[in-house]
Amino acid sequence: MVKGRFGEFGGRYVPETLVPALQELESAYKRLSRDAEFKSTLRHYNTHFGGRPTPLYHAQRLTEHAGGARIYLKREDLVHGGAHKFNNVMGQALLAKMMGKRRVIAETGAGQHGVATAIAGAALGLDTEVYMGRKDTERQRLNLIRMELLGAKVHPVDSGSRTLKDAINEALRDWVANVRDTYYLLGSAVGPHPYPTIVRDFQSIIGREIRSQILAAEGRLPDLIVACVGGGSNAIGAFAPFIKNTEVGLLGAQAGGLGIESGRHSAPLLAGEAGVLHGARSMLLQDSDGQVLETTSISAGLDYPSVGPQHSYLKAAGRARYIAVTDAHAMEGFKLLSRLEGIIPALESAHAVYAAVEEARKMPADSIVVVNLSGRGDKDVETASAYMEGRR
Amino acid sequence: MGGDPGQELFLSYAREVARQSDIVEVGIPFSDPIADGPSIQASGVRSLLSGTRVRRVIDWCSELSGSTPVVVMCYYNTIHRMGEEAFASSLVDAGVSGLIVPDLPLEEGSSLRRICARMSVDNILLASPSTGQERARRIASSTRGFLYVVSRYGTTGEGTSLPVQAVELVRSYRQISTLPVAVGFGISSPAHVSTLAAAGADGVVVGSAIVSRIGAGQTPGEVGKFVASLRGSTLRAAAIS
Repeated sequence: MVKGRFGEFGGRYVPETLVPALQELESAYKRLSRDAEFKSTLRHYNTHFGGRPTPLYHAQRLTEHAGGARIYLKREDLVHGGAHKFNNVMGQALLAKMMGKRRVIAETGAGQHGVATAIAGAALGLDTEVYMGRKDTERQRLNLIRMELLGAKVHPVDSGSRTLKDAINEALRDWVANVRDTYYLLGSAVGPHPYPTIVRDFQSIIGREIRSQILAAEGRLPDLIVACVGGGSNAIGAFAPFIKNTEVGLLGAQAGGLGIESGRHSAPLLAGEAGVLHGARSMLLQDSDGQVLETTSISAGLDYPSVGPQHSYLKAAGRARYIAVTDAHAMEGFKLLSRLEGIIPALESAHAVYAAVEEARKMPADSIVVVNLSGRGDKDVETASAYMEGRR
Repeated sequence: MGGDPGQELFLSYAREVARQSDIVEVGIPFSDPIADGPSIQASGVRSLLSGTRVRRVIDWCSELSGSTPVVVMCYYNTIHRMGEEAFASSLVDAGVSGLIVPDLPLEEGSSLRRICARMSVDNILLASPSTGQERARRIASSTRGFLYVVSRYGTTGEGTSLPVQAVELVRSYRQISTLPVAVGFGISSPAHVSTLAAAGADGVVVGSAIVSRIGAGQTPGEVGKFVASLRGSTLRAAAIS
């Protein structure tokens, strides 16, 4: 496989100004990811600051409700900050610090990555600035406030669709201007090489823990792992350590919005074609001129027209399956987990919960499904209650 | 920018700019222009809102290429969508001389360079202040037509003063390049142009300063006059429209 490529996908399609910075990042990562001190520092933060390992919890009532496979929840909602984003951020923030960068910039959709970056920035003494689409600052206001409390500067982005895609555009423009002293802490498994690899590696702690925990609990590997896929970092983190175990099914839930047939969704793996956005070739929602289409999803974190290149590859290779879960079905997953298990999931993760229940229903009782519960839903209660009122 | 300030008006601006320039650069608007600052972003938005399609921009190029050499500037997804081969041959049909792709660095552009070379379209590469020496040499030897030197860190956009490193960059690229060296990003006044000419630049690329005037409602004649003022008598000037 060509360096920085996943089959036909990935690559490094960026302005020349950024190429040397990406090369510097690539070699720093290569060196530090094998460095004993780096690894032990990261382990220290993951354990004592982040709260890892997170539990793998047998969701008994959800299992009964589905009436099929045993469902386990990987509790990434319990990580410090409230989502899996911490895993990647802590790794990259330490990388930034060891590379001697004082200023860190990030984009955020739902605000979970922004919050995690603000947390790491505060803990490591880095200046943190976060780009967030104006629309997302409104629908995820709680996270905007959290970032500011943590000392990060938030720049609302008014260009384009004023969501995650535009926040990444603006962060890339900032990076082009300030690349000498600034580290771009990308939050998902997207973007130019080496980001999809770095983010996957730091998130793979999820899948490694699932493996040892399910072996301890059940004495075997799961039959299916389910995760939501926007950019796809929580999913690739859960999937990656199992890619070679072909008996383990991998299922990604993309945001179906108002339904694929409505054209208003965020599911490039189901309805997109190969294209280049934000430095990588991957599946992309675009028109016949290659203009990137606006996306729709109830969850800001999945509201993205492309997807991490490794997911495009896993789909093309037939190793992972991807489905679309509509806003309405995600809300069902949201309510179901809240009422049956006492866990309010992030709306993003609720897509995976719904998909997992539907899959488990069709599977025999002695099979095992693991859902990556990527984040908690405190940030979403306003959106959810508005949605439910609108439905009444 | 093709299609700005509208489908009907674009060509009258482009003809005026072309009349005052040695090369006219026509941008194809893209929804996510990460290398561009506010002026060119706004220009692209105006163009897309007026309904600009890629084929239409290429057709406009054929209307201009008879009198002034035309270079197309577009993001890579525009090319990828049509296919490199089909895109390059549509440029040939429109009489376009060159192609600039700001998000396609040396490593990713080898197949497009081969296709352009076969079709005699100059694939113009960019070098930046962050480019190291060894890489700069490879870029200088792979570019065709001219070498596009990015004057500063950052996106496109007008600057009040010339970036400090610009003059030094021009001198060093002048030494390693056998082709003409043109400087772009942030160039907006006759003083900038004469400073760069004195440093050895063979041309300048002016984009934001032109499209922001179009956006502010200046007439084609006024925009043409501005381009003429930049050009002075000191050097061959390229210009974006």
